[in-house]
Amino acid sequence: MHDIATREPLDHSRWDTVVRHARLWRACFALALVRETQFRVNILTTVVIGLVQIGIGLIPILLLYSFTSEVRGWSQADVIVLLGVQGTLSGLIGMFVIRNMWAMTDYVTKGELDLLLIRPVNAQFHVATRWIRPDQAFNVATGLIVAAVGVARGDASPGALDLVQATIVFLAGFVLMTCAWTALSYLAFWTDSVATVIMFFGDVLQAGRYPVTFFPVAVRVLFTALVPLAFATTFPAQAITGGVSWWLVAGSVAFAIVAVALLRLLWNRAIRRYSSASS
Amino acid sequence: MTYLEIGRLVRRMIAINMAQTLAYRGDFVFYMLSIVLGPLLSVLIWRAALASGAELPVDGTYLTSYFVLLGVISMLTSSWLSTFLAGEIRDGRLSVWLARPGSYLYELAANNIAEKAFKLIVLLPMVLIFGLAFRDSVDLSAPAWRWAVVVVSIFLGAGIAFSVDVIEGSLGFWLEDITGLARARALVVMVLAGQLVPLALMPGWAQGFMTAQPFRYILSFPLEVIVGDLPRGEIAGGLALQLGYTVLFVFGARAVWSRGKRSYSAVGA
Repeated sequence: MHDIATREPLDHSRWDTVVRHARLWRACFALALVRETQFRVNILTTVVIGLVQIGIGLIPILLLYSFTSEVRGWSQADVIVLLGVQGTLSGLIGMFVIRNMWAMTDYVTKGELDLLLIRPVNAQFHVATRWIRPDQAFNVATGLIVAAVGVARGDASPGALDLVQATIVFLAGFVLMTCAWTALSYLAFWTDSVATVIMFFGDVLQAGRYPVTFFPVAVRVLFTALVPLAFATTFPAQAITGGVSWWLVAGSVAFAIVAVALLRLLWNRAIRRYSSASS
Repeated sequence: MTYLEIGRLVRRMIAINMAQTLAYRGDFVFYMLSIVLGPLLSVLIWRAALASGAELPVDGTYLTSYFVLLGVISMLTSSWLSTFLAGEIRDGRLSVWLARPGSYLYELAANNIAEKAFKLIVLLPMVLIFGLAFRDSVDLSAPAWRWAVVVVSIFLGAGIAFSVDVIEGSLGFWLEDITGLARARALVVMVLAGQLVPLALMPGWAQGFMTAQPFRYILSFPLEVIVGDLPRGEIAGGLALQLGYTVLFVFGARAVWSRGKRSYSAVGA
């Protein structure tokens, strides 16, 4: 180990910075695993609630399609695929995003951000990735299983290219949803608390259980452009069940890159408002 | 304490809780938006199904009216105390309340009433806009006596929900953490109360159970009285059953609470 007085200065080359942040994330993940094993009952709770939530999601779909075979071009099997995709999204957001968003209020109002800003890492990256909930991996897995069940029940037999398209669009959608949610959490720099705003956004996420084509045009536009839920749920499910154009795939990636850039700008603006605990 | 003294105490507690609630008025706007959002999405989905030719046992007017009113009635009959009560027990803060002449349950009841009064003010304009957006498919022209039944039914439903919550929160006397249990129960009740899907849309083989189970009387029954065509006999029978459930759960809550207090051990207890 280096002594602090003789430690080499940090290498600020791009590669070294990436490696340093990857190591930091790995350390956060290892800590999260240790923390999780201390609360083993919590894992059981997550499993039980995850199963109940799948049941809750399935009930309206099963009932709806007991009265009809198709709604706006979507069969029951297609909507079950969509439910699985939405479950996977919820699991990933629960695993990597929500806990970090909830922490934002305390960072700002209690001045805890001071301790993160003085570390030799990108503070925005650290704030966004510090907390991880490994128990949510169960919800990710069950989401994937539900999607597979939907595929098995339907007529579609997605090829490798369809799955590649679905994965790219889904990951772009996940980034878009994370950016939208994170942007809301930055409101903490302007207001005292963002807890209820974050909670409301969580309720909006439930709308992803249904195709956007079920909704009127105005709501479709809302769930595509402003709250980009369609990119994370409807479009990946469409890619699996019937394929989508590569233009949509490229567009979703481009949209995600723009969203990340805008989030960076917003952070820079927000951080200027931070007065810290000691000032 | 006499009933008059309890009444005065709860009135003071309501006033204090109202003042505390006002401090979080911004948050309540988002809470109420959440309450309206679910029914709004449900209306759009079921209307899409109807437009696609789905043959439902109820028509579009029933569904739209049901979901428009669902937010208000679910808020008025709701209870949210169980995790707070279990927290007070776990952390030993209940000791302070046990030393006071008035029960902690009075404080929880006062909080429930005060927050609902404020929430109603925030929620009503949202529901009004919701209803106006679908005015062609909303029919609330039920006779006055049905509305009177609904008012009584809401009070009884709130009593059931509050009592069930006290029973669940009192499990904190024996369990370390009830958060998971409370979340799972809330999700199951969503189905059984008719919040997720109107019980009229449940399959025929489940109708008997759905009609008799107690959670119907927290939400679905008052809605059915207004938007449905329940005959007088069924309304009277339903109201009697609801009263029976209310008495059962109130006495159940009282028994579990009393038993729990005797097994309570905490710093200062």
